Amino acid sequence: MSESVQAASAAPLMAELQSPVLVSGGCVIAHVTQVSELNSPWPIDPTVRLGPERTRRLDPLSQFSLLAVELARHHAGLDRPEPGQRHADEGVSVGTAFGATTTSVRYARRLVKAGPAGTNPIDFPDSIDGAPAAHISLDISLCGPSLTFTDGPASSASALLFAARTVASGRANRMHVVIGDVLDPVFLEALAAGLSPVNYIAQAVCALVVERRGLREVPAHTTELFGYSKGSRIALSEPAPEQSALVEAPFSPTPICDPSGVLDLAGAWLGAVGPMGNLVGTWQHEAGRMHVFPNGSHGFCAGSGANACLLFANPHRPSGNS
Amino acid sequence: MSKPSISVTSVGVVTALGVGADGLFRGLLAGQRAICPVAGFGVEGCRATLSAEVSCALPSDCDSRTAALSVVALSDALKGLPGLGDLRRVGLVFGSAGAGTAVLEGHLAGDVTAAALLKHYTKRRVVDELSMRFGLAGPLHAINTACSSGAVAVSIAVDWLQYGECDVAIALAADELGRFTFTGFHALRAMDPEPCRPFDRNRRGLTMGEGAGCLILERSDDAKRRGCTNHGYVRSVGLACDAHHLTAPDPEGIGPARALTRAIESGGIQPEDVGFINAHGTGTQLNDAAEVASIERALSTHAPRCPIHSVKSSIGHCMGAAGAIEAVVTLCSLEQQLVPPTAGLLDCEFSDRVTCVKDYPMRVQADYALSNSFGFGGNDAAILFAHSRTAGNAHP
Repeated sequence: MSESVQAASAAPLMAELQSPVLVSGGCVIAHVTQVSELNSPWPIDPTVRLGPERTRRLDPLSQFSLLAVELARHHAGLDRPEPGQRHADEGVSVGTAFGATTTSVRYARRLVKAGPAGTNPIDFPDSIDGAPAAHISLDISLCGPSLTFTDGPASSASALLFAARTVASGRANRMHVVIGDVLDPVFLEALAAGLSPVNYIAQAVCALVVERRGLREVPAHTTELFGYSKGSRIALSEPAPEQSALVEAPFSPTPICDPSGVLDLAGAWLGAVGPMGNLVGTWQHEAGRMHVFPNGSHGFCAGSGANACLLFANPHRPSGNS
Repeated sequence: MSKPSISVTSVGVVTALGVGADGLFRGLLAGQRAICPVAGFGVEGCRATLSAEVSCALPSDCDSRTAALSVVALSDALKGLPGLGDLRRVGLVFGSAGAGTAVLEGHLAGDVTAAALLKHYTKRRVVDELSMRFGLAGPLHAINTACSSGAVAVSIAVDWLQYGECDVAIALAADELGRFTFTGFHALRAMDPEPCRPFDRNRRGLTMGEGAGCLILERSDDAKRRGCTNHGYVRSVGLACDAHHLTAPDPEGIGPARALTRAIESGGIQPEDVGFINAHGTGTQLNDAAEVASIERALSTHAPRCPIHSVKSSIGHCMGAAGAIEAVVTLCSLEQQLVPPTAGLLDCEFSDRVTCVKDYPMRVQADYALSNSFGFGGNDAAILFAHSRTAGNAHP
């Protein structure tokens, strides 16, 4: 089934239903380099933007995550919270394929070279996959659910879906979604080992603010997170190209807003993210590239690996207009 | 619209006390302690040299010890089921704190290739391996919330079933005892050189363990239709974050109390309905004190009467797997109405504030029980289980 057919069949339902889950702001910090320039610096230095106090000793993934959340909140029209102001109804959901690689490598290298006596107690807790989520919660005092998905290339969809469901179920009013990988040279070199010097490798950190409809007057650029479907092709016979794998995958489409409005999303491929435009991307370490979605009124996105598919909609869409 | 009630239709477990929930629970009731000198790797230079390692035979055809532990726990759980049904409707959520670190260490030592590093470093690799081995073709997740990963896996599995994403949800968590994590806790000076003593006045830290725990969850109506045994209900799960410190718990226990209160409130019960608590109970000075404070906050006047216990002085702290293993223990306690003693507990520091079960198992009459799990980053999770004799479907 083609992408256009999918979108067309979904459109009438989308016009009638209203999702309780909004994406009110976002930010992508990306660093795309040729293999021949693997260790070139990122375009932004989070330690300069955030200051040394907030970034000291943190893994680069945590540093970029803090910056991305700050920029996404700004885009969503949210100020930095006052110090000491705790938010029990706000949480964080992180998706990362590799986690805090720089700190992990530093800790493991010292362990290999000098044994237990050579390790640094500061590095160990920062080496866990959940460290970026912890630092975000600490930085802006988020006391709601905090979770990290290590789902490989499907991490982005997993993190966003968890946030959406947490908001839709009323367990939080606002979730901060961070998706990203910032790789230590050890991992970059491993990734580049099978590539030509002219191939590109992308690293990125993306943040989204997901919140409950009605919480406040939201910015005009807000997008509805409309529905999703999930499935696994891992256990299904032969490896297949992504698109046919999606078609074959046993999706169980379930819109967040209304179980009666089941959408047929099987076979959906990368698509648009409504007026969010270029704000959502998925870091795909398998393919070694990053997808950025063009503008549109509604569309789909899916992680490479095809374990999840998300459907976005423009909340300002005219009724019945596909 | 009320949510469907969720039944636990089978459990599987592997710890230093062996394979199977029955053996584990018998050992806990008897106060057994499976803590020995570390055998799996060198611990020269470490102040603590004890751990609770799994000694039973593990499958030799797995990519990692963590995967092998997972295979054993899942296989154990499958023995208690009449099959899984349509595998396209079976989901797996896997929690682990340290999977993959041995591969990184091996790569830096020159023993693991770059390709193998990329392939085996991520926790998702274990999920993919299990998916292929058991033919699981429903939704898959790998999560890491440090030492609360197992409990959070249960939370996501419940969500899947209540949202209709699958018909059978497997919540599985595993962690192997590895040098990376062992030395990490050593570096943090968080380990007791002797077997750990949760809630004891003289406690000096934790003892590391390893293992895997697995809970098979199904919507109760589906489970009944399939002829599955109902071992109890997952009534609710409360999640919260301390937002206090990367490693140290909030001494006032505000975050864990929030998780406990959320579980109690969303489970539709009162604090005095909680029959007992399987505590996180690591044996560190800070954790145990903060946990007692959180229980007082959440249970108020019921706290001194509510029995609590920790299994970590018997099977060690199994890190990311702890939440799932201890969920299994909590279900066994509910089914048998017996709370195991906290092995090694001699002089409870908090005896005037909570009832720590020690020396002998305690007979209880409990319809509801909580299982606590806390992790680095201030991750707090509390699972509320209900006995199979209760209605089970009181989700608001």
